[in-house]
Amino acid sequence: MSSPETRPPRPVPWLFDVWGMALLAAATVVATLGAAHQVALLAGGLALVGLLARGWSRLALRRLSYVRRAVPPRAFCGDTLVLETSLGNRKALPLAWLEAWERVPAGLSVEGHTEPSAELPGAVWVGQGACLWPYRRARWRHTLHCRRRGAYTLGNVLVRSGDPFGLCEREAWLRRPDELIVYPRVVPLRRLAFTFHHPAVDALSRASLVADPTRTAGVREYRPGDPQRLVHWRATAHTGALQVRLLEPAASLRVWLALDAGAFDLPWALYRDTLFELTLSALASIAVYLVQAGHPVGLLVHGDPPRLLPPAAHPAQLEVLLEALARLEPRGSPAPLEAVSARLGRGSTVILATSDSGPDLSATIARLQQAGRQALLLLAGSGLRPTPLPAERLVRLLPGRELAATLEGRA
Amino acid sequence: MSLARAPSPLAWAVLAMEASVAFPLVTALVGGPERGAPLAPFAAVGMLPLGYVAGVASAARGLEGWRWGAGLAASLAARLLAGPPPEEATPLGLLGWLASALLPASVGLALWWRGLSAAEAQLGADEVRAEFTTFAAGLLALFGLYGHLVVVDPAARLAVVLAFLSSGLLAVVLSRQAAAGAPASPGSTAQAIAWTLLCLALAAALVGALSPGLLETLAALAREVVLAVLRLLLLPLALLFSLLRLELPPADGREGQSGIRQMPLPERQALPEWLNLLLGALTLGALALLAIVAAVALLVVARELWRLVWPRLGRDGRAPLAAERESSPADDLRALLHALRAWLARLAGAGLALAGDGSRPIQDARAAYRALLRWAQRNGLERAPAETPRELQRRLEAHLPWATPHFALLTDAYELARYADLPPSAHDLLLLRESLEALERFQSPARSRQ
Repeated sequence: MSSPETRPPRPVPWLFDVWGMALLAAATVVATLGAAHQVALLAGGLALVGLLARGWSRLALRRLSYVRRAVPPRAFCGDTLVLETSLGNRKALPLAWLEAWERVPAGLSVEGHTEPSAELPGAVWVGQGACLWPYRRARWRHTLHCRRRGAYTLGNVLVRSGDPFGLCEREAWLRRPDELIVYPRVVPLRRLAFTFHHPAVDALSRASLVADPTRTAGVREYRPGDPQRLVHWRATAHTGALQVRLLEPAASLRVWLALDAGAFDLPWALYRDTLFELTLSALASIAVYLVQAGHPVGLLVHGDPPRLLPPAAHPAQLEVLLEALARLEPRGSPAPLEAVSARLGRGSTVILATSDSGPDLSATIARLQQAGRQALLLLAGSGLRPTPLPAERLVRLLPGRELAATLEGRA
Repeated sequence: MSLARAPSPLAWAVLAMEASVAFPLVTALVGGPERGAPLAPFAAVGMLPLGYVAGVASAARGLEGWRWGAGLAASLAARLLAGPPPEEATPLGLLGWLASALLPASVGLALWWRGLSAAEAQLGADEVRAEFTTFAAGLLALFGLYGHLVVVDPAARLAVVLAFLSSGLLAVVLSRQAAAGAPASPGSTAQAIAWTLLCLALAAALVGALSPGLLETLAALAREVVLAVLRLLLLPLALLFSLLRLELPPADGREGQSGIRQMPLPERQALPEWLNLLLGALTLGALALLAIVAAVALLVVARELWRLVWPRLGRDGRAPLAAERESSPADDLRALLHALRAWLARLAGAGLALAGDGSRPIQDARAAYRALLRWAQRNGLERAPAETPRELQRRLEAHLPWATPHFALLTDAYELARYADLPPSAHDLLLLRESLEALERFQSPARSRQ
């Protein structure tokens, strides 16, 4: 098969264009009048084929439906997924030949024969051919290997068909854009190298201003203004005076993953991509670890465009986080990082990811700590840049080192 | 695509097309029935497929060096066997016979070369189509302008035209299917054969209506073909009879006479009873055997035709393709009746809505999407409060895969109108209405139980 870029639809052969058809019709008539039956049959047969081809090609691309489905719809970098496509012929006209061309973007490699795309460098054309009877649907399966994370758009599909003899070819785009999300590579973690202020869910925070309604520390006498739902009725019956429950401060470990995307906007593309992907993999792995441990995790991206996802611990939060990480690009934002980080909640832990080529973040880290937030640093780069944080609050991401060992503190 | 690696029907269709075009030209060069060599053109044209087979086989076995020698020998042998016999049984006569066979044999050798090159040719759909177009024009000019120089017999000319059209059209279809990447299957071959036969039948009917003489010639040709096939099938029986008649003694006792033609038929009463019975039994046995063979052949042909018409799915593990049903003619008929009813209603001034709240037709994408939401609600697929249009679309598609294109169309149109300020065109509105109509015809099981 030749891709649509290398082989556009062929024009009608000269014998079957308008003048050719006129010549064939004239030859048929003349041969019939002259009792040259063989010539009449040949010319008449060719004229009939030409007429049939023209009419058929006009109807060939009508009532076609294309469906595309990725199984699974989301994948991690390095995974393999199956792309199921199907093309249906919902009419009484059979199609002796049919081509459906998908253009798969760079970053996804397809098994089987593909044709490179000249319009989109890195993208490939995947051809699908079929012969469809009336009211039949053809189904294909393609294996895609997710080489790079990202949000990929599988765009419109080019369908080409025509008369059975291929004399009149037509093509049309079927609108069917779909998005395929490839999450960053995630490594399984057993622990983290960071020392959190709250090593376990049961740890208390004296500085927390939020009370945990599920934990009762004691009882006291009722004061006007206390909510009725805090009344401890058993203690009230025992003492004879209204008693209310005294709650413990909230003890959840709220973690913000903050990424300074502008720090990765480096002129050397390979170095930039390597560091950025490494950092995103680290953040994704940390997010998976923390969400599975039941901690609320949020995301703050200082980039273009900025992203803010408040912390949450429900299972859907992980999907949202990973999707947000999959869509990120190493582009900076004109707003200063301090202005963005001011939106982080008090009492939370901030894991700040940046590169050693970015601006100095000492002031930012100091401000975070002054505002009652614990700051941890994930620094990607060569490892030569000094940092204001002690070793237990710093993890250096070095290209070439095993990521799991680095994040667990074993490397 | 090399013909040596092309699916077999395509390769033979191309060869048959070329052979049918070559036949009238070869007849003019090597002679035919009028020159006492009725089989000479067939022998020469037969070099074409033989050369193709030799090309494929020699490439597979690494015997390319033997091709030309084999071709020369085959062409000369075919000419000597099929050509007129030597006039004199003398050395000089034989030499003259050999010399006279060289030129016709060279025609066969040329066709052998063409067969060899066809085995290595990279013929794609475009090349086959161009070849068919060029040969068609050439054949038309040849018969139209120089018909008196080529095959004289009208039936033979008609056979050439039929052979060219059938093989050429089949080759064009098969090559286009191969170029499109459609897996070669009984279903695809059946379509190719069906369209070829349909075009031939329509052409014969059309031209026959204008020129009844064509139908008479076609009938005569068909009769000749059937008789030739029957003669071929009954040839073993005829040989058996001729052998039996040779061994029988002459009825009048004449001696010294030999030869089949001089031997009179023996009278039945002269034969012993056991011989009569034996002859009868042998005849019956031969007829029974022939009938069994014919029945088995018919069954095999019927089975192959059945497999050609109904494609086998999933048998070939390599093919990444499966086919399944997509809607049905009944759905189209219902849609047609619905459209007809709506048109009649509009004519009558009733102003029936095509979809939506039943009061007026859908005029924009948002109204269409609202109609979709109402439909979803009626069918127990109500949109959740925080559900986005895409999430709703995925959920609806999961419930009703057949309606995926409709959901996608309505959601796309709504998003474009709502967020990109791109209203649908008149054609798009028509498509949206059709989608809503298709959904309206569906009734969920929950709704049907109400």
